[in-house]
Amino acid sequence: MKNDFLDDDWLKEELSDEYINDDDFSFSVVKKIALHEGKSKRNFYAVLATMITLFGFLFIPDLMMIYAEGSTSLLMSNQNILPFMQIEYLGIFVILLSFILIWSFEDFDLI
Amino acid sequence: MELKLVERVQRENDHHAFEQLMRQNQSPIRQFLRRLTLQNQAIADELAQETFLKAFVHIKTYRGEGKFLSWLFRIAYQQFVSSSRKKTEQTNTEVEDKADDGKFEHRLVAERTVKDLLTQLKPDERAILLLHFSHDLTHQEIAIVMHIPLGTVKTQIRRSRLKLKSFAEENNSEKTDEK
Repeated sequence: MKNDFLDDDWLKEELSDEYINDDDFSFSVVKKIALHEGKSKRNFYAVLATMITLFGFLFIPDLMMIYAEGSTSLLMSNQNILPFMQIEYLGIFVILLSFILIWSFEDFDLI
Repeated sequence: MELKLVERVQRENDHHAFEQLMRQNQSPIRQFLRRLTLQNQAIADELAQETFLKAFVHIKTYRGEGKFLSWLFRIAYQQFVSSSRKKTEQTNTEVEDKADDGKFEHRLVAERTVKDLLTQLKPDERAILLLHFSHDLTHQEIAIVMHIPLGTVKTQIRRSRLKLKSFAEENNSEKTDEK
């Protein structure tokens, strides 16, 4: 062996490997990718997000109003509809924001 | 050409384009991981598969800064480090087994190739030398791949070369003693 460890070209030559190429490798990775995509929790999150958003839209403002003003507040007149809707939108915004966060976790494999 | 394939995968989730990217880049990634795992082809190829799977999942985070291969090397090295952490004890045993193997020792002395001497370096030292000399990455690219300062890369390369030289001299003197 020449033994010249300060010679870049010689080291490059000594450390070079044979080219590896087999289609089986690419094929098995593509299969793994398909499996990964099938296993993705995205659809599950979509259903869960829809259900919770719906639940939030229907019940959270009612519960908030019952807590603040008592059960009689549910028997509201037409004039009370506007602030009620504003609370609804706020609720939806908060719920959707939390799900965007969950999706981003899933995208980065944090959960 | 490569960037266009990357864009297709990013935009359309195109498996065919990713397969082409894999064909172009599988050799250096698998060679690198084989050398890091001391030629354990099964583990190396498993890590390589995980590397490409991770690359596909996170391909949107690649913004074309630097070579695509460097980005893949970065994932591959992270995969190797995290798998080594998980299997530290197992890996140590494997290394000891190899060192205790008479045939391996004999081959080391008989052939004394640089690749054999490379197995005596620590994994990070091995990775730096391989990336620089075997895969032509610049010091800057290696610093990004391995998450270490540029100065450390330069020092490590110099130090690892000297280590290899001393290993080679030890082997030579062993051979002379045997005669």
